[in-house]
Amino acid sequence: MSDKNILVTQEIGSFRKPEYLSRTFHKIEGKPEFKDVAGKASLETLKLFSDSGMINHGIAGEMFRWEMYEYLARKIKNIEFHGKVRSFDNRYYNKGSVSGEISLMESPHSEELEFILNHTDAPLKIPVTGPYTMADWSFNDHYGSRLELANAFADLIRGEIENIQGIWKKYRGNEIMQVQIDEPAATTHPSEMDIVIESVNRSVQGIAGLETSIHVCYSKDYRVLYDRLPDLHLDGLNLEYSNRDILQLGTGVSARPGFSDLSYFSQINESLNVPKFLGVGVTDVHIDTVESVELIADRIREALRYVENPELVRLNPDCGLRTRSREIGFKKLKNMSTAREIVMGEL
Amino acid sequence: MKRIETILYGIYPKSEKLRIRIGRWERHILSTSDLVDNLRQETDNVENEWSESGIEHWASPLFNWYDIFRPLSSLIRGIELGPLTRYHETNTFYRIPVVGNDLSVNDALSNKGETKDGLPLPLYYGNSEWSFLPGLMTFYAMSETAGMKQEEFTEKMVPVYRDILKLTGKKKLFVFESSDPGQFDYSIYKEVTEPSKTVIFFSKPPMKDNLSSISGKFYSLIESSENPHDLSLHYSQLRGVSVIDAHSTSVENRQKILEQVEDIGEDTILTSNDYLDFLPRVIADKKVRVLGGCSNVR
Repeated sequence: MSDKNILVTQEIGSFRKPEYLSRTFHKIEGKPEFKDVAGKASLETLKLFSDSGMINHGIAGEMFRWEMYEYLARKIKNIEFHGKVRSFDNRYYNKGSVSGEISLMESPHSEELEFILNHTDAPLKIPVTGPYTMADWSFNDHYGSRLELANAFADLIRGEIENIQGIWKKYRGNEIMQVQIDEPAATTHPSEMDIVIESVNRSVQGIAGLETSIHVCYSKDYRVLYDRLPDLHLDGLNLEYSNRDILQLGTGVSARPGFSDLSYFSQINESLNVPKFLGVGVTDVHIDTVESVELIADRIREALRYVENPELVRLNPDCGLRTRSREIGFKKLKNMSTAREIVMGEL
Repeated sequence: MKRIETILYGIYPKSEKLRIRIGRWERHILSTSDLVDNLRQETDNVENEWSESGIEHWASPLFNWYDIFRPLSSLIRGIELGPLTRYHETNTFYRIPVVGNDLSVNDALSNKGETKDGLPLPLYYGNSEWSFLPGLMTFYAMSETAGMKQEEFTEKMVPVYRDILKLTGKKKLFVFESSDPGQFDYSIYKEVTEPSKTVIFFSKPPMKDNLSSISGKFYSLIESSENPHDLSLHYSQLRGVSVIDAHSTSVENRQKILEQVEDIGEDTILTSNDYLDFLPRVIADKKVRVLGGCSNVR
């Protein structure tokens, strides 16, 4: 079996930028030469993805974006930046203040998508920062509630998705466009899952021709999310699973306890009229250790013990591989692709 | 005219310059003694600004604290630093204290050396009489305690807190309780220092039963709630009121605050609803000037 719709391999979004881009990014961003430099890095990353054997090439490692919050926030009217705030220890980030009705001043993803579409026919998945995470990571000095703020971000994101879909259609016609809503903050406040679900649904509401997914990582408890699968109007989930796993070989609950909550996922997923696909994190983006093909294959087999239909299982790193060097990132992706081939042979 | 005092507590946002200096120190580019000089200088600068703004009380800006438990976790024998954990409903993380059985202050505090993870002491830079400590209920609730009961934790920590005040030479205590309310006897703090020199801040309203055994009056009990009940009136000399929002970059209006205080019609002590480290420094500075401008004790 070699169907490219089974056990699809994919990146989550970001990949480490080449030094020539990371060193100059902030100096040239917004200038004419930026597109040339980010474009060169994108082409190199597309080739690297292709050489690794990965099926879906994402958006070429997000070479046009520095990170996921401020990149988008800076393009939104009525988000002001007053300075950095602590994230942890001595690590800080620029937290924007929403001071009025928000709207996009310019499209954050058009230039990037058009460039990529111009240079590849590979399957793509476009990551877009989600409304709840944008709301959670901002000061709310305008909207009456966190729900209102998240929904305002959702409306803005929906407009951007419609916008990039116009570009997509120019190059790919009626081919379905894959959009991944990045929501790392989704399960951080379990009491706010209603806000997460409502705002995420709203961000893709009424747009035909999409395949939609949500990316969540490093959740304390994915069951908070799984409980809401029936309410989530998306086609799939791309999640981190290797960081909570161990490096020894084996399958079964005792060998891979970090995967055990997938039984909870399956139980709920199988009750749905249209079950959702699950992108399983099979390589850890926070360690330099390159997991062996055998280990990744065991992780895939373990996921398939719970989600028995291989068409519903996709394979990805836990999160964006920007955390690792390009060399290590490549090896991880290559081993992921090789492991897929092995498991495909067993199906 | 009713008396209006003001107090600041907890971690204050660092300047960009100090943040970069700490980053350099972490990468071993800046020496510890140079970092200590920077910490002292910035503390002096900030305390001067606070004083000029009209703030009467503060417990050090705690620039050498990475979170409200660290460096305490590093200074208390029997507590280790655990993984990063989300701090309440924020996008800020702290190292969760992992609590063992035998708890006591380690030698570093009295030697004024370094914490286990290297951050330079003293615990409180500056010259304030006040100390700042996380409430024992909060410390317990936000730690990994491996089945230790809260009563046992409190019993073991009270002498530790007493030692911290003794070894740092602080006479006054600001207790920060930010966890969900539960059964807890707040009169326990009289074993750390005199109630009249103690302020307890509650992010969430405490159960009234927890206060019933309090005899005498604390300097103040302050509730973060917009609609606090009258515990402050019964159990404290000054009614504590939170008037500054530490989670919004909108700067409060001094006149509106004064109108609110006038409506209360009692002697008050004003502060923020959380410590100000969640804000960019420039906004925190503006809010402090508004708060200090409300004081009528000069």
